[in-house]
Amino acid sequence: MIMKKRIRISKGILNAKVTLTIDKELSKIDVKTLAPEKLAEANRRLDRMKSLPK
Amino acid sequence: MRHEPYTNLKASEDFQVFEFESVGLHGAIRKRIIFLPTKKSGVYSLVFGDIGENSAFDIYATSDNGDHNKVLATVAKAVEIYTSRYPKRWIHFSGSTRERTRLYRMAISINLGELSEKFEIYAEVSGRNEFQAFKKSMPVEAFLIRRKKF
Repeated sequence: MIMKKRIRISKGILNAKVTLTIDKELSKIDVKTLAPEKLAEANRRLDRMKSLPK
Repeated sequence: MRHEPYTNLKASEDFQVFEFESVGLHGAIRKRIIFLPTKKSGVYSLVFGDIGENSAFDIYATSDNGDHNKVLATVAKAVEIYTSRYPKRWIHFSGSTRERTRLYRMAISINLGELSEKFEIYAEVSGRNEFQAFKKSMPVEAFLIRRKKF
């Protein structure tokens, strides 16, 4: 008798199939006003670094 | 330990904004990911948070919805989609708290094999003024990533 075993192979995160819907309402959001403190922090951190990796 | 992302994402036309819904212990919670241009040319800051009442964006919200691995997998998927459109852009990110940055480090470490196939991953480390190639258990302050091939 042949036993069949179902093995689920994970596709991983990056290759997972997703449904992406373009939402025009999201395009109206003024993103710069959403998290100014986080953007300022990123700019401070980047300013401290000599250069970007090659 | 691998986690599948949420499969329904919404995005703005330019992919600057992504949204999805976390469904867990406290019901459905809207999540938003934004990519903001920094002062450094070609570098974009990833910011992630919850959409609260009155559509307020809250990067400090703790939803405890019991699905943080799935949520982080969805953020990674959004980065994958974003960088497939903008492959030359660097993405800079850190958590809104030290604990969250540590959580990101752990998640990246666990999935490093898969992530490093597609991305160059660098870290800002305290006291150093040059980005370091990311290694597991590094004390990371912030991350900088980019698509490997473009």
